[in-house]
Amino acid sequence: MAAHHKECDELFAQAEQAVSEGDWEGGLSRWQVFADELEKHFTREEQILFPEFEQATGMTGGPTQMMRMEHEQMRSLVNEINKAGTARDMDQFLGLSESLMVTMQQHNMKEEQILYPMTDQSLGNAQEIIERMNQ
Amino acid sequence: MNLHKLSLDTIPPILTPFRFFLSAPLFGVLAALLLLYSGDDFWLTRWSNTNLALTHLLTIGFMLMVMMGALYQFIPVMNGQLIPGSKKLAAVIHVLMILGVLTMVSGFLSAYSELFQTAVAALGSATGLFALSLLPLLISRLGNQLIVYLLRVLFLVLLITLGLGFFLLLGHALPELNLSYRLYTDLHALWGLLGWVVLIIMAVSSQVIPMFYVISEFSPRYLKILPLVIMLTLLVMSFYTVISSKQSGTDSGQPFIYYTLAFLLSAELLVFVFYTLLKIAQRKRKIADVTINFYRLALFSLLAAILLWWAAVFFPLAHLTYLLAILLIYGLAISIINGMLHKIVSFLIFLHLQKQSLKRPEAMTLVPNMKQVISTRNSQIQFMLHLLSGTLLLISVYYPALTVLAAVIMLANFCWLSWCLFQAYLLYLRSRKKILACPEMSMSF
Repeated sequence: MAAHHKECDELFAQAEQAVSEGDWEGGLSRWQVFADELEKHFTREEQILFPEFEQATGMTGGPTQMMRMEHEQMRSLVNEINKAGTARDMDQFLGLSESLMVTMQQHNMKEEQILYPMTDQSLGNAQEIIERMNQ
Repeated sequence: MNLHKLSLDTIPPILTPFRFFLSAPLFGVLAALLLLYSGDDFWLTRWSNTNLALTHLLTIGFMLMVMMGALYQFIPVMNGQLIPGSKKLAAVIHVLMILGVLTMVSGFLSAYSELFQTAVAALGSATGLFALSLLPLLISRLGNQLIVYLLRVLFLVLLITLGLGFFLLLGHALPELNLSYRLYTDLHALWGLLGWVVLIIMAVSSQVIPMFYVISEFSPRYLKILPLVIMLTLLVMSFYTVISSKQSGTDSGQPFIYYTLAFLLSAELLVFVFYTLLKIAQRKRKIADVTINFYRLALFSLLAAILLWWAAVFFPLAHLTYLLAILLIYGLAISIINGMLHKIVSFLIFLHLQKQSLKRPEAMTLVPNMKQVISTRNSQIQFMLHLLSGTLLLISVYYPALTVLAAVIMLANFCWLSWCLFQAYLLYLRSRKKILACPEMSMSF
């Protein structure tokens, strides 16, 4: 999952770069690929990883709830960025993309430093879960 | 790891880091005013009380103040727990810091030893309480995390720097102690500028550069070895200087041994400069960014300081200490802090407002994005003011007539920073009011 975070970052950087150079077509097409990947990542965590974690630890209101809320925050930012893209509003697009970037990074850091290690520790069937998530 | 103690919802109240961030530039303003008042007399001797006052307005009032605020914010993101006392105690530490810096600086300017006694008490309790708050993290089992390791080394280096500082302050507070004032001042500056400043930049960059600019992680081996080696070199240099001064009565001891150690230290610093520059060059997120400019300016300032220092070994250079101090304090440390404040403050305001709007779908559009909090243009102006004032400071060492101009631009630099941060905070308060006025929805998940 941590490796998938990095791939998403690179796609994002390319999209942002293209838009900042005024290449809306190239930028928005990359942005779309990024947004789809991001959504896929969120869905996998919400449908597979988090429930398994909750079941194994008995913690339903804690870390996973917070991660779900942050996913919602980022989804709403993606939405706003889509709107800015349609309106070809560069300032708005880049301001929002910067905000999304940092939100994503802070979120990734929490997942990688805290949630994933906790998951590795508490889940006996980690390998099987990873395989399900990669399907 | 105690799973039940960890929460990912741990960010301190916005005022915890902001009280430090908002007050720090005001000490920069005071420093610029002091330089303006002092005029070209400032460069007469580095041992003048005005020099010492100005240096500490910048190093403690600005640099240490920002570092405290940043750690309150940064540590919970890393390990999921607030620094103990993040609410009330942080406010007390903040007040003690302000009191400590102001009394210490007034002490330098007036030479009343009572003021130094208050400064020792206030700064001693502020830094002592802060160190105590960090202690649980530093001795925790999270120590296998690289950043905690870095914080431990940093903590030791800061402890030695502050220890030497308090020792000197005691000398001011109790003049009868009669200590080797210049020797310990040099050591204090060495630990502060090449130890604390360099190591904190190393620790922060290793986290922040990969995060903001999409770069592969810093090499763990580099992060484990270099800080430790720098600290050990500083230790050997310090012991050697103290011991040899006791034996020979001079400060420098055997030139050969001293220069070998200094050469070693500068080689280590060059590794830091080039490794960080390389990392920045490798970033995948190439979009124009003012913080990157600040970073480069900082690293080139350190590089210039090292080159100048070596050049001066062969071609003696008048006023070398001034040039080094300006390059290290204003060029290295304050550049990075300026760049980071613009980024972090925008982000924190965005983060807090977004969190408040989460339960209020109608309020989502009321959250300003990061570039609306502090615009790119305002950050660019900051960079120009900083670069210009730093350059003028360097020139005015040799052309004292330019000191007043340098001080005016430096004043503009810190006023601009204050303004950018205050207007950002006011925007936060306004937006928050609007967001909280929206109806709250029940959560669907």
